[in-house]
Amino acid sequence: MNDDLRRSLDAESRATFRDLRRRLESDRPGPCDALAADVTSIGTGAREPEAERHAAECARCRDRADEARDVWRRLAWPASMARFSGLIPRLLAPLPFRAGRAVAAAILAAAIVGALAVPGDAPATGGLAMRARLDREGLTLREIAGLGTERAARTLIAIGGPEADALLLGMMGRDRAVDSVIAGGLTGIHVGPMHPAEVVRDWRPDLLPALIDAAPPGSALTIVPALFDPRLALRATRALERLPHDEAAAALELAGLSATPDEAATFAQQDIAVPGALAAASRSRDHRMRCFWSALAGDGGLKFLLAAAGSSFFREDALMFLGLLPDDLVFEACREALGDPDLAAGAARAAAKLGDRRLVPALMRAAKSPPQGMGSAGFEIEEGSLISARSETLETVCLDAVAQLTRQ
Amino acid sequence: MHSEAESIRLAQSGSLEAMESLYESHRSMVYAVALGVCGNGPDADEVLQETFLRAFRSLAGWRGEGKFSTWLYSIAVRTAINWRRRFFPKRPAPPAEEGEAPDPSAALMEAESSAELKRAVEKLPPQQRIVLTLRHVRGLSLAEIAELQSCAIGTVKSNLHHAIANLKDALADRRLQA
Repeated sequence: MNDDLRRSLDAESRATFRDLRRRLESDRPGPCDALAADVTSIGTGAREPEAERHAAECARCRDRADEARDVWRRLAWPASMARFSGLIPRLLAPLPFRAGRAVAAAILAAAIVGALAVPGDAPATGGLAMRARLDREGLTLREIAGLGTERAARTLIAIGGPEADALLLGMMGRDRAVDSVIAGGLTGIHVGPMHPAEVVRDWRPDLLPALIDAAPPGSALTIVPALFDPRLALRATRALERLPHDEAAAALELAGLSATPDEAATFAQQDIAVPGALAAASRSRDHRMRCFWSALAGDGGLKFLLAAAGSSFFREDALMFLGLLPDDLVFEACREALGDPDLAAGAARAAAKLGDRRLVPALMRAAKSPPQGMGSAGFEIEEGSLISARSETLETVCLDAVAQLTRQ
Repeated sequence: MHSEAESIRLAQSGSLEAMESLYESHRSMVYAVALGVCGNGPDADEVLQETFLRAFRSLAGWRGEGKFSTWLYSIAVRTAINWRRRFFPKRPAPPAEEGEAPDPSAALMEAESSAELKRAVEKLPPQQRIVLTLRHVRGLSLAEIAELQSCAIGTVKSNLHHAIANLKDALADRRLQA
């Protein structure tokens, strides 16, 4: 009933989806739109085979081409009246006098005469010119080095100079191909990929400061000698602090084993160089005494004395020299060193010698939970074959110290 | 009859005959460019002469890199634009269709709604006008125009298409008004 009623009222839409689809398709860009410019070109007389083929089949495009042809036909332009004969008098006429140009010419002539009379610096060539160009473009050498690519390396090699060489060294260690290029550039011969420390050690010792600043892993052995150079010592210390602890310690020990007494004394004054100082002090009595006296004078000497107190080989001397220092200073150093895996054993010995009961809590803490880096089984103090075959754990050393302090 | 390279070499050494040969070879191209920028014959003629004057004066310093026509084209465009910038703002606005001078070359355009078409041409962007005139006045192929302008042929086609579409619209408006 309802359907009959609706039909009788003609309430149904007659628009079908097919109508909508036709309109949608007409909106979509088709081949006609893609060829529109070509079809227009046909109207101007150009040869456009593809568009011509399309226009032969498409009435719309045929119309387009005809419309373009119609416009083209209607266009008209005035003919040129200018002849070469009209140009000749102007070509042959002298250039008009212009005061501004005369002044400019005079200034230019004066500048040339001046330049000839007073020869200036030679013009920048090669790397300098390239660097000047990069400066003008606002590109620094550091930014180029930051790219880390082979091309960047070759650019820096072409520029040359201490700054570029230093940045090249800093670029090493990321890519073997780039390393090979840089090594060739820095050494001047084809040597293949090399470690930057090797480049500095064997070819370019002048780049040691750059190596220190870069401090790539594996460079500790080359950096350690810089501790003896007052100009580089601070930077070398920071570089060794940044390097893996084991690598730095091994390099310092190795250097200590061949150190002169003066070098041993230098090691003993520096916090970072304690392993080297201990190794050097074991070389001779002279080395040992230079180390201890130097440790008393240097800011970092306390660490060496505490580390030495941990070894029975140096303990007697170390405790004696610690006794020369103010008690407050030693007390603070001991409390701090009980948390350091390299110094805790010596600090416990020194605490027992100092006799200050305020250190008991710190000793008990170190006995119960050894400082990180000692391993879960506790730190074994290596006595070595020089003194005795005894070995102790940090726990026993600390508890002995506590017992001594509480007995006093 | 010399080759173009020979003519250039002779013109560089000051030969008027060689200069005339170059002038005649490239006159219509320079005129088309000038017409495209300036839009009228007298100004285009001035630009044509000025362009060749500049070109011949600096020909001694031309190192022969690229084609002579491309070099000349760039001088023509620069000269025409400078000309337009220097003189056009000082001139009165272009006259309405009724007030057009009875220029014989414009007679055809006048007869067939020339005023609308001319005004529509004047309204085109310079790049479209230059392509239009190079193609219509000089009869250069699209590829030749692309080479002169150092651009892709598609760019030339696109400029030409838009120029003609604008002119078609202008004519359609006139028909509607009629």
